[in-house]
Amino acid sequence: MSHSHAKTPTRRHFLKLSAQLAALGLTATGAGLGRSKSLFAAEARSTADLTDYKALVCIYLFGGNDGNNMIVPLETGLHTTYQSLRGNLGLSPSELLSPIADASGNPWAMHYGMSELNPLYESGQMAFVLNVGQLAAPLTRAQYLAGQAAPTNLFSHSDQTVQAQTGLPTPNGSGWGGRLLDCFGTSDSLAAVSVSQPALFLQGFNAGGNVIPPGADLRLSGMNFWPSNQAQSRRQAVNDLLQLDGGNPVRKAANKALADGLQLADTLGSQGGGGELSFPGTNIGNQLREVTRLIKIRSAMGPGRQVFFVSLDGFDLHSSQDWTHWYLLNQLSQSLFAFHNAIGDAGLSQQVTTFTQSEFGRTLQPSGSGSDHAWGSHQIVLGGAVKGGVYGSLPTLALGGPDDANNRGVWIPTLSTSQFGATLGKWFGASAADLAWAFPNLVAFPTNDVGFMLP
Amino acid sequence: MDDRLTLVWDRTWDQIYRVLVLAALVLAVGAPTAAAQTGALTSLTVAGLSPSFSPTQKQYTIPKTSACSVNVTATLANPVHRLYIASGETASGATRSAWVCGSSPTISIVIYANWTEVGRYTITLVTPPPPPPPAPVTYLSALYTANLSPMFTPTTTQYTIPRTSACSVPVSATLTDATHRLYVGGNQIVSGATTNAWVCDGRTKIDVVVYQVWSERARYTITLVDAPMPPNPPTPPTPSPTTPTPPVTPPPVWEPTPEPSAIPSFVNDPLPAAVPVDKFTAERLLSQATFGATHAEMAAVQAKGLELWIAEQLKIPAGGLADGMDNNQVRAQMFLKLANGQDQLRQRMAFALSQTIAVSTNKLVNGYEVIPWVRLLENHVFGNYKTLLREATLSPSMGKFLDLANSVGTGGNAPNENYPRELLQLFGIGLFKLKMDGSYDKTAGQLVPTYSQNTVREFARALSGWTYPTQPNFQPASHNPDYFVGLMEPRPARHDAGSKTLLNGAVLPAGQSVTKDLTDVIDNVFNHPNVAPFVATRLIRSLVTSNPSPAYIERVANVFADNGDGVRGDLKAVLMAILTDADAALPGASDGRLRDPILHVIGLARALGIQIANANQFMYVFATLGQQVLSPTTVFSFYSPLAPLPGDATKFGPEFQIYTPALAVQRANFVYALFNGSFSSSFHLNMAPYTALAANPAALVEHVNQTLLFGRISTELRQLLTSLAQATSDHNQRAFGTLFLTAISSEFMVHTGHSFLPN
Repeated sequence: MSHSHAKTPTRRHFLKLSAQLAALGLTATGAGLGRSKSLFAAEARSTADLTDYKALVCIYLFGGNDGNNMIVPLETGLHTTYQSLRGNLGLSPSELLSPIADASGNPWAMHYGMSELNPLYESGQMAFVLNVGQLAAPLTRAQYLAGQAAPTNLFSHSDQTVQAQTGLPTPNGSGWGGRLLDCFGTSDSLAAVSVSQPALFLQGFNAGGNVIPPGADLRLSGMNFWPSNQAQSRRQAVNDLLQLDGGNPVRKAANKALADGLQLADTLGSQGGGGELSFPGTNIGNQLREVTRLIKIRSAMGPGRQVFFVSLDGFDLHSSQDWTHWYLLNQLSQSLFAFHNAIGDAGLSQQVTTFTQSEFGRTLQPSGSGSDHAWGSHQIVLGGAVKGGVYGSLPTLALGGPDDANNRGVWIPTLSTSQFGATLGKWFGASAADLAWAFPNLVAFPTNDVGFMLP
Repeated sequence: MDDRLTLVWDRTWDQIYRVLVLAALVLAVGAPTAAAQTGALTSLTVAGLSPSFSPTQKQYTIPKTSACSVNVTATLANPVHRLYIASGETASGATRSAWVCGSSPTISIVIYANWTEVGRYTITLVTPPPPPPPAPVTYLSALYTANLSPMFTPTTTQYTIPRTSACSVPVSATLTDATHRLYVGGNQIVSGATTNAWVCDGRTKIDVVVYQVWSERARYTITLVDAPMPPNPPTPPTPSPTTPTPPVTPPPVWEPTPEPSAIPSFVNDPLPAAVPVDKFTAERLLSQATFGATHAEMAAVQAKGLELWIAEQLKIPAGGLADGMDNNQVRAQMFLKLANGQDQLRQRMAFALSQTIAVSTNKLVNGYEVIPWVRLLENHVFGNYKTLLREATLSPSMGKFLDLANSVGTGGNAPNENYPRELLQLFGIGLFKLKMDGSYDKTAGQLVPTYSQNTVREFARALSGWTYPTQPNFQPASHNPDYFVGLMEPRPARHDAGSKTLLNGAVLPAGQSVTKDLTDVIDNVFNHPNVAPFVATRLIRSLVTSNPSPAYIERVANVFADNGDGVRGDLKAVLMAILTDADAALPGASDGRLRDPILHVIGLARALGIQIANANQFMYVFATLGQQVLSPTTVFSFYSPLAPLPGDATKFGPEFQIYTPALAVQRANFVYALFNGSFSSSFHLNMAPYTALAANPAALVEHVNQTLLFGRISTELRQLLTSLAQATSDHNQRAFGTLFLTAISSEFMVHTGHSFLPN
């Protein structure tokens, strides 16, 4: 990767956090965005002081989730077509939940593994967004087949995962979650947190993703031995050690990283355990329990923004899709339900929005007992600030039809990741200029607000 | 982890007691020995204890499970002693439930006589080795389809059949256990019945899968292979005698596989003269050219100087990697190579290049897919970059990772663009035009793209038509199945032989062979002016500093462009230029770089003289720290080169992308666990030389200075460590604290030119 040595940073306005936050060492860092302007068009982000707290939680479904079976149209004609084209993957009536309706009264049903989520939809706090995916610009089938600019390496997991997380036609090493935080100049240790693995999604130009695995003990080892006053001396020596940098900026940054980590451990430790016992004991359950804890801690400190990365793996269902998809969606549903309740109990349901992402969908036409890589897929958005319903448009269910990139039911997206992200970003509080910066190709699309968030 | 002793004891009484004991010992044996007053157990019962208990055995392991508590029952030899299990006082013979959830749990069983520790047993929880693969159980007693090759045996899982024009292929199979389920081509069938498997619509194989309830128990794959290629080109038609027409020679339908490039060797090169250097220069070089200085290498470099040491390193052959390992074993072996190998410069260079030209075990899931790649890199890192690009392009491992293998450019197929794109973007020239000093070469203030989507398509066409090597005892097919030994093979019938336009307007004429097109592609990329600053920048950033000056980059790029003998792409000359440049050594000229998790841990081991024995014990920790060997998660390798330095966005700090606050603490805790013996069968730190000096804090600190910092400790750090040692009464804690804090100090963790001078 080539880079520039521009030495003229553009100064940014900084957030003034509450005194409590500053005292706990969780202040924002960063001295400006010293990048070539023509590369990133980075202007000084204007940040009025934040007066509220919000969090975005990205649940990334690794492998390519089959949205086609997550939400199924029940309208007779559509449903019959769905059943006939899906063949052995089609969900029978006993494999679908009670019908739900969109704003126009059209009936839909969810996969039977998601029973906890039906009431959430009924309560109006859940939205389905249909046929979202990577696009550089709107694209028809004719244009795609003629070779017009489509995202590169469409069916490659690694490429599409990078594109889904960066939200850019040409990745530049930053993710759209991190860029949304950049819009607010936010980069403290609790701002961008992955509770599973380091994620490109959280890397902004200023904000850097922190990785806090569930149950991780972030207290520094070796600081607790007898007698306690000598252990305290050692801890104090560590603090002093982190001030020694010989004037070298790399050493200074290394010291600050560890110092911030120690500060974070103290903060998290002093807040005590969660009491969030009502989460399922699955991997994703544990992750969302940790997210709940961190949201509660951070929101109690005052205004701010957080973005989380949660992940569930295993959706690359080339075979045995019938029970495996049920198994995965069931885990997702149970833990989302527990999470939604826990956030509601904490009085934060208007301030936390959760959404799914995946690198691509799957072919409508089955391939043996599974399905192959496809493109556009359906996503879930959940939270008290969500305007429930079914958004976007269902692709024409026809193999080789106008929405198919080939002849297996590979949907050309009708909504881009940029539009999806910008809708969330607008709720998050980013201005139109901020969103244009965070999603440079947004201007290519007719709308930058899909409408699934309450105004 | 931590002892949480909360004893309160009378220090004066302890001192008197110690003096009396010591006096008694001296009288008894003439010198104080540890054995005289030893606390022991007569029994120790823990599930899974290994080895079996014996009173003189002090170190044990038990397998780590998901349980958070482990029952420990211990009986004292001397009932007067006190027994503490996991920091809780326990009656002799009673059972204590020890809490073991945490990142690197150990259970400490400590025996006290009065208030003095007289015995200690340590139980470390280790992840048990993976269970041995189950003995092959046969799930099918019969499998039949026409022309099945080889003949069916229950333990063979890979078969081929020739592809015909038929779309249905009858297949029959019989289960050994009638309660299992049988699926052929995705459809369940009755055992013993014949079904038609659909093989059109792009299908390349028929899977025959046996399930027990919903668990897959066996999978037999029948791959359809096209008819083998005729070995001889058809004879050209003779021209008609009445109309003199030139003889028409159709292009050959068979093309020989390219030969692998020669592996460069420098054994016969003359050695330069020795030019002794001081120890600070020696440590600086070793921190950049190896995985960490050892005291032996320090002596060698001081005596020989940079050029001779480097020249000798070039002659050391590649360490190689054994066949037959799975990816976990490959990773562990790789780690040992980096930590203990003699060919340090080669491995450090391979490590650097592997983050530019990256593959990952995330996609290459079997050891046999990755091992050839490791060998390829280490064989060619001192040769020519053009050769490395060629070998990488023809590598089946890379062919699988970036989908070049079986990329078809004929018959209306769109050839695969994955590898061509990365060849340009990540391995060769980058997105925008560069000057030789690494900065953007703008036109009218605008960045100038080096290629467009069209260029990628043209490269994809030019690189189409390669397939995996042919397996032994198989007929070459136009679409070979996965096989990773040797170079990919050309298939003219799948190659887009039209004319292509590459970089800088270069046009490849129509009708070239697959191999000629590839040679021209490599030439075209390699000779693009961007390659010199591009490679120079990546290597300097990996070895020396994340923010090299433009002048440094330009000097190195110039050597890439011409090594002094008119040769472009000479990697050993580039390496020499990087390591001997004044910027690599001058204080302040380069801020340096933060050590990656791998460089940090191995650097500690090498400085401390520890030979890491079995990396399997702790490899999983590196995944948590964001740097699992050979397993980067994205195409940007472990961290993006564009990541800014936290706190100063005018600079780059890629390594900080995996040194976020929580990860920084976890790294420090890993160092703690290594030092306190949590992984003692792999990483054993002998504290005795340090504890022996602990009575004299200044001497202790100086010894740690000489060991870990090679004598360059700063005044401030020395003062800090000395004061801390003085404030710590227990000698073990004194020694441990000094080592631990130095190991996690930025003075150790950050490689800079500046800090290598004493101040």
